[in-house]
Amino acid sequence: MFKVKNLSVTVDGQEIIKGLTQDFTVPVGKFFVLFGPNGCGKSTLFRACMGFSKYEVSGDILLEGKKINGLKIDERVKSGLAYMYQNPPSLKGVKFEDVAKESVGDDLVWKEYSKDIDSLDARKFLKRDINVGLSGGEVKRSELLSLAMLENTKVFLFDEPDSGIDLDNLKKVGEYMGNLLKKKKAMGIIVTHSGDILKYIDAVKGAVMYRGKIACVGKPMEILECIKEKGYSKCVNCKEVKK
Amino acid sequence: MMNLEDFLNNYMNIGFDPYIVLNDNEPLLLESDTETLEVLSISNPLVGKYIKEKKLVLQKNDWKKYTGYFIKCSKNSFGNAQTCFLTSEEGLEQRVQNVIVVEEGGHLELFTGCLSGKHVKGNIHRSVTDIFVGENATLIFNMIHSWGSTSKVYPNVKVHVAKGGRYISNYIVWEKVKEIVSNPTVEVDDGGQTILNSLSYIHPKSNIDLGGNIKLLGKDSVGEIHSSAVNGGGDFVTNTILEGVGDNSKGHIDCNALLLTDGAKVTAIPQLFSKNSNTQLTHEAFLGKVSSEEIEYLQTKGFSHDDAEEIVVKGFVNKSIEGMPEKVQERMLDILEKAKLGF
Repeated sequence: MFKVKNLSVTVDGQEIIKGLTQDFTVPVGKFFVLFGPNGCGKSTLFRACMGFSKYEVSGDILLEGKKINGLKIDERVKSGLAYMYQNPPSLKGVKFEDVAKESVGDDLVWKEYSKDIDSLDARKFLKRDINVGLSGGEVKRSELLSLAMLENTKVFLFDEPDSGIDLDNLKKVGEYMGNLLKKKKAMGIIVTHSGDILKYIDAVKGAVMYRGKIACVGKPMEILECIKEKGYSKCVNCKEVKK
Repeated sequence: MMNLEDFLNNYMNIGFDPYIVLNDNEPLLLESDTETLEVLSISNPLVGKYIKEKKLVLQKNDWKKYTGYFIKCSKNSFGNAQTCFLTSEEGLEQRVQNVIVVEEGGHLELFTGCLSGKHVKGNIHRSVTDIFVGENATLIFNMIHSWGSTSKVYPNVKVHVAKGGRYISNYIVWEKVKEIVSNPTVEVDDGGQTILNSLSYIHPKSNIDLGGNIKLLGKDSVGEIHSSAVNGGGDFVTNTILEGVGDNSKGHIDCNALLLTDGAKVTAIPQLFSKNSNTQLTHEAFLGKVSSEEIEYLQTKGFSHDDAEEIVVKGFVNKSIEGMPEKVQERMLDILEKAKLGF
């Protein structure tokens, strides 16, 4: 469903990812987990796949077998690729509810998201400016709610959804992500540092990214244990989890 | 441009009474006089008598023929009114002298608009307005321009805010106009306050010069100038001056301008003059393009680049009109809807 082939990504003249080939596909409703130390290129990979400016890309980004490199960001979204920011920008003067209603296009359709709004405890920030003055947990929930409103998503890219949030929010966010995949009949790729969110999601495959390359592929919990025990540099050479 | 009837009945009509219209250089015909609010023609002899009695010093002009109004809100009274300036003759120079007085403890809200007839090209509007805000009185002056694309507009406003008084100006220029130069001067006495808000859209080949000069003369006087502009390809100048004279006077200037095209030009000239060590004056400015980070964020929510830019600009407008009276905000959002942001 989602893979990259010989992908290289350069940002401000610096090559962050070099010749990466990886199939991230997992079954619908399941997660692929991407581990890696800070600066190894995980977020760069996501942002390059989304088509953000400043990310020069060569190689192929393939969504359901189709190359999406040439598409604009919104065209990639319409093709079925969605992205959850780790640190989204604040939009002053732009109310979440106004944008959401414009996004779904109809008041009646908007009402259909009532359940999502409640399960994400989102009513309190609907009438506020997007990401302005929100807590860490509220930012993540706001992001998830906006993802729920996208149509035809096949692959969700979650960039550190467990960073900067408390345990209550972690559970809420993790469970909602799993339900979102099932509802949308989509798969997810998630970047995590702590691995705390793995308790709440059905992660079936994982990989360690190291210096812009995939160093290890295996079962997520086993990889996490290896990282916790030996650190990233040793984990890279750990043959036991390579499958 | 809309026709006169629509303008007067729908666009400008916010339900304030009285609603006065000043056409070309004709005198105001429909005067109104209640216990709380007097609205008279500037040429009414009673106006001259009042000005002489109260020793009001007005800006001078040497016009022979002109129009204009005198509005007075009585002591401790509450009033509101709508006014509208019209030009219906091609090439006409409309000359206006206005006097607004809010007596001690009074509260007046004015909503002002302006329009040129569809066929009117090359008209000029010059006005001289003297405003006197009494002790502990408030004047909220809302102006939404709707002149023609070839109109040139030169209002000259001078305001005196007495002890504890408040003068708040909300000045909006969104529809196309050839040129506007508006730099009101406000003098503020002890404990007085003034806020000059402006929001403009600069169309290609338009010159808009919106600024202001606040003189914080009194102890504990406060002044703010908030200048916001969306520049679609014209020339925008904002020349803003704060003078801190009174003890413990405080003032702030900010200017925010979004440049939508490469041809857009913005000049922000904030000037702070402190004439007393116990005064505090600040300024800040942002001039730049719409943030690509914000546009890309909205694109990840499925919006096209153009739609995303429109949303961000609307957000900028929303922030700019925050704190303005609800009726001004409603009218502004109406204009946005109709004008499709003007681009």
